[in-house]
Amino acid sequence: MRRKLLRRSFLLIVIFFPVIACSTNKSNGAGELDLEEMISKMAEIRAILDTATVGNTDGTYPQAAYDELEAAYDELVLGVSKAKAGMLYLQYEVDTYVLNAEKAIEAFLISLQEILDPGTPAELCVFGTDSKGYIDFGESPEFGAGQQWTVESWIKYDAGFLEAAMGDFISTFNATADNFHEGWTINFMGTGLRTTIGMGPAPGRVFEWSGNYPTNFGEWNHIAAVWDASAGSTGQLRMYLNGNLFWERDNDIISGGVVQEYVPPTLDFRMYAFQRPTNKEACMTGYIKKFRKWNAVKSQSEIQALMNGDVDGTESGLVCAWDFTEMPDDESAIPDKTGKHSASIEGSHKWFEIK
Amino acid sequence: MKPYNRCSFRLMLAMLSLLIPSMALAQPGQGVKVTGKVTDSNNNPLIGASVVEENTTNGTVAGLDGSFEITLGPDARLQVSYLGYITKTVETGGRTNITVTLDENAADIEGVVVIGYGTVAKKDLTGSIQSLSGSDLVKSMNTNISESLNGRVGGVEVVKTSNRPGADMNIRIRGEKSFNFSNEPLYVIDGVPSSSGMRHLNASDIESIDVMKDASSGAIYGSRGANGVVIITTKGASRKEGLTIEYNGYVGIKTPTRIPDMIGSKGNGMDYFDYRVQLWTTKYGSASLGRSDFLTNDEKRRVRDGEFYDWLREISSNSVVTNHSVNASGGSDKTSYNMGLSYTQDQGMVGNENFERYTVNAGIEHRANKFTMGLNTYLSVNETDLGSDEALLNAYFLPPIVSPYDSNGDYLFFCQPTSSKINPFIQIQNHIRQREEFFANANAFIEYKPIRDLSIKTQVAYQHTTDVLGEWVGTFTQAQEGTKAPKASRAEGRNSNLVWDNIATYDKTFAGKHKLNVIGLYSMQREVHKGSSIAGEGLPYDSKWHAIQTADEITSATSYYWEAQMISGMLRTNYTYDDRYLFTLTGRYDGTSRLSKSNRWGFMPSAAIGWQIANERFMDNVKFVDQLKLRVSWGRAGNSSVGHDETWTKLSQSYYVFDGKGENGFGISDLKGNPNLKWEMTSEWNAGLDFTLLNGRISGTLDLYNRKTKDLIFRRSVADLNGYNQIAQNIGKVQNKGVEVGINTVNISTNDFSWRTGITFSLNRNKILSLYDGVQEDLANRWFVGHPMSVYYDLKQLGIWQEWEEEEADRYSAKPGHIKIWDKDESGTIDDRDMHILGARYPSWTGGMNNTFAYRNFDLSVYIYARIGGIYGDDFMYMFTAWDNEHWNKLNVPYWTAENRNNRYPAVGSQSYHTQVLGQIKGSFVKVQNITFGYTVPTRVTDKIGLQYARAYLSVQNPFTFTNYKGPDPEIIGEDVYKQLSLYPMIFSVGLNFKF
Repeated sequence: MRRKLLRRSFLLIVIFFPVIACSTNKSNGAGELDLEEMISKMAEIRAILDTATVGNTDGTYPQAAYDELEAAYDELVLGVSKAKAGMLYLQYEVDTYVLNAEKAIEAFLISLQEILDPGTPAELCVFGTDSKGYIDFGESPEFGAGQQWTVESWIKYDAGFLEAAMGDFISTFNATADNFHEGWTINFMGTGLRTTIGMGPAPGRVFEWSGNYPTNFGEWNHIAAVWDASAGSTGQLRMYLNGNLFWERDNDIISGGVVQEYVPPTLDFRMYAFQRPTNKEACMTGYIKKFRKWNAVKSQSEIQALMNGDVDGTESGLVCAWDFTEMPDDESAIPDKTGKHSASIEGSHKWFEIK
Repeated sequence: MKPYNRCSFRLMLAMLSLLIPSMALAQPGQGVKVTGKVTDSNNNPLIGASVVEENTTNGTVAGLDGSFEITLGPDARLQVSYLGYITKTVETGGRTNITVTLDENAADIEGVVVIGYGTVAKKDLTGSIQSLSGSDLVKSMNTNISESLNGRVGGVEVVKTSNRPGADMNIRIRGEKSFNFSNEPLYVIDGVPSSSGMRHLNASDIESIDVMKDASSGAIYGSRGANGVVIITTKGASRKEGLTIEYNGYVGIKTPTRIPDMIGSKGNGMDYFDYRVQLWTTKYGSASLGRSDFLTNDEKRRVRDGEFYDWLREISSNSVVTNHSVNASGGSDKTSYNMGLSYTQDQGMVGNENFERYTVNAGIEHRANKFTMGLNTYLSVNETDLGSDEALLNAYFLPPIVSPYDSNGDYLFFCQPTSSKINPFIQIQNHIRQREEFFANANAFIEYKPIRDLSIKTQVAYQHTTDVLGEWVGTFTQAQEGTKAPKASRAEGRNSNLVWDNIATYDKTFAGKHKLNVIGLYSMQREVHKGSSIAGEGLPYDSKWHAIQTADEITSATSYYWEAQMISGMLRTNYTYDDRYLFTLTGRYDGTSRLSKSNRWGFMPSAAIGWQIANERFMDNVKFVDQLKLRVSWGRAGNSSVGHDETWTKLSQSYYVFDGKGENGFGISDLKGNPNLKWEMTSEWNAGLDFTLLNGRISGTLDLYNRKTKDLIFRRSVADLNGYNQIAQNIGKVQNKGVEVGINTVNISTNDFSWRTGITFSLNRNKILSLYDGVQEDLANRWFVGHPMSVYYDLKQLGIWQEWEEEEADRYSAKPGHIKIWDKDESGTIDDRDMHILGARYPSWTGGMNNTFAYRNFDLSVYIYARIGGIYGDDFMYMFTAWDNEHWNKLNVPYWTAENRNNRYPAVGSQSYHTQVLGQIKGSFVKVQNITFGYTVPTRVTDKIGLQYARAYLSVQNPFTFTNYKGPDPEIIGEDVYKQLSLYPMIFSVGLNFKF
């Protein structure tokens, strides 16, 4: 209940903050600074800190989270001092302090501990925003290999899940020093849910397309990306959303008259969720449950079947498969169903018990 | 009696008086003695002009200096006429000394047109040829005289590439015809075929430019005439006696106009700040404003303090344009000569851009019994500072909250630490590109007349051009990023062209009615082209391109040599019967070394007929028609500008590292030569009507043409089985058809005031008739049968998705504020299959209008040029409306918002797909290109100070431009933004022209 309340309040803040900022007729620019909200947030954080219980048990807050909120408080105090000393010039700087304070409060409140036993049914949320958390699936040439593959997974997110220009959900994508793009990424940009794959041999080429991402915030969606280099003009790159064709696109990447081809990773074989392995700025926050990579092209009907089914790891063409549906024994070594790979949850994240 | 009848009668009288120049007509017994002078608009005396007292037979003719003396009755009016000029009636008003200036009749039926290897009276012309006089070129005040043809010569489109000084211009006559080879016309400068354009010529040195537009005219130049021919005649030796020295010059201030409105310009920097906030908030979310790279501390301070920098207005400056030329000419009855010097400087408005030109021309002709011999030379030295590549571009990109200076007032290199764009002022200092060119044109001839009607002439002409292009890219440039060592390159080319023409001309009139003119030609031409280039990186000293051997690495060194020869025979016959029926037959046989032996010879015939309808008896009573001529012609001409090696299969060079050592290797190149290649051949029908009405008050020309070019040379892609993947073949056919109209009117002509108007209109429709193997479209090259050669094939923007269309937009993965594209195939997705032909990259029509007003000694002229229709790709508009870079600036156009909806520009930061459509620009514009106000010093004053003529004038170029284009100059839509981006100049000039 409390969690839902927190989530909703966070949602409201994120959605309405820009509106509030605009509707108060405050200029973004020069002029006398309005510190009222800043001071108010300072008081709010102080009150939370003063009443929070820190510990390692259920209903307490972790010391690390407390420290982070305290640091946010110090930053806010510093901001007020700067503003009063004339070191902040513009209203947007004040607003940014306020926004950061709100985020710190939200992060702290959500860190309220619920200690789960291994095997407890739960949902995993990775707080990838600001590059704070991600899932490291390890390294394997198989993750990005092949001219025919399917990636499918369940994802859930709230409004405000993306604060960067682009956020990778699951990715093997990287760019070499010579600007050759390799691998694939399922990512969000603007209002779009995209699949992007590196193309070559010309440098700097990618093949990507997007559709508007679903805005049914707080609900699970099944997404699948399919690459089939041999598909000709029947949609070599496709995405499915909840079993329905989301979009399809023919390879039209031509450089110097030469049709470019998908280039699997050759230098960096890592695969991450909620952050790009080679660019931590491409990050996002969200929930993940079942995730699988196949070195085969899955048809729409097969994807619909997979959406509602499970795998045991022995299926033909299955490269890797993880179910983040219960509290693992060891968050730093979560085996996949094929037994070949191991994942590690890094940084800020939380398991929410399914009751 | 109707006025035109009176005029006609007076003209007849005037002609009669010319035939008996020494005879004064009837002398009255009593009256007032009036003296005066008859001159043209340049104050040249009109010797033999008829001066008649109106409604009487009392008259006289002007003497050698244009002076006359006549005794008139009280309140008499003078009627002054001269062939080729507009007759003028003058109120004496009690004056006893009157100077009468006659205006040239633009439809001068006695004018002479250069038709190649000879001239013909305009009335006997059967082809479509339009002339522009040297004085017209001078008045247009364009540094590059090519530009003067725009709107002044029907059917000619001059495509400007940039407004930087010394920039190239391309000329298209009656549309495009060739896919792969030049569509540039043949330039013939004093008899020497040239491909170097007209940039090196000074307007004051030009006697005339004659543009041959139809294939029947161009056929005289055979395999090189298909794209039209521009014949330039410089001021060679004239036959005027005595010595005349003429000065023409002006000095102008050039200032940028129509500077594009970037967000936050003109001191409104807060607009840019608000845009930045909107962009970041939309693109990255509100939290992104807290990122350290949103604004640097210095940028914040500038916003707070209102310190905004207007980059475009700061980097540009006023500059000077100046031109001075002196011409001296004179001679005796046996020998005549001419000499001219000129200097032109056209400074750019950004950085070091500059163009300077020095010309020297000289001509001498001597006539002795049956021999005439002469020599003409033209030398031109051009020095062009092409300016820095990306300086202006960076000035567009950098926002007003960034300054080029540090706190000490010194230039910063990275003036915006969060951006890759460097300080454009530093770029100007460290990126230097200069071109030096030398043009020399010389021809000598001897003409022998063994009998009265026959002349035999041999002429040798030589043209030599050299050019050196040097480039220095210093460490502190955009390219070298402040870290890499400098690099430099130098390229040099030498071109020579030797032509030997042997011409026999037979010109005779039989029995007063049969005029025959036959010209035979045997010509040989040899052209040689050679050059080299070298480039190096890592230069230790600031040595520009003069010490490339000191580079750490020589990155390229190349040289080339090629030559081509041509041998031609030509016969042209002009026959006129009774000044009513005109016939022209031309045949030219060319052989070129550019093609293989089996295909190198080609025959290009043409035929034309003309009918002087006005000279028919049934027209005797149609008094308002002075001249009416119908012309019909057909001709065939070739385009031999095919590469000299197009028929060869060549080896290409590769560099291998073998056993630790670099080795050269050679293999078959990608392009297989085709020895069966033939000329691209153009045949054309042309029908024309020339008319002069109301005693020269209205005159004009109408031309209709239909030209087809076949055997177009394509480089076809073929399966890569034999080591090559392309082969050149003669396939495909193109049509150009159109209408050209030229009208000149004398709206008002009194002694004190005159108003004349000249109008041209050109319309050309280009169409591919066939491609290859029955193929109807070649998507890779964007060629479609039934459509123009150069089409805009792309997605079509329907508008911007609006809020109430959100559901439909979602089907296309779009949101309100995104670009809405036409789903042509209604597939529910937007892809290449939705592309279609949006239009042609040619204007629908072009036109020019020149109005000249003269009141006593004052004159005012206004020239307007219009280009209507066509759709063009414009990187400038795409770059500065579509790009949403978080640190750069963009154009201040109404971007979509929910409150301020529009259907063109997407919402800021919306990351819309298909933004390339923002580069689709309609090319219509109307320009007032030139307004000139002049004053001619009265002869009573010039006579006293020993001058023949003196005129001063004020001029403004490009004062008004009407267009929807948001960039600077709609005439250069599509310019290369990285290499040639330029501002649009307005030029205020003051000029002087005198002669003594």
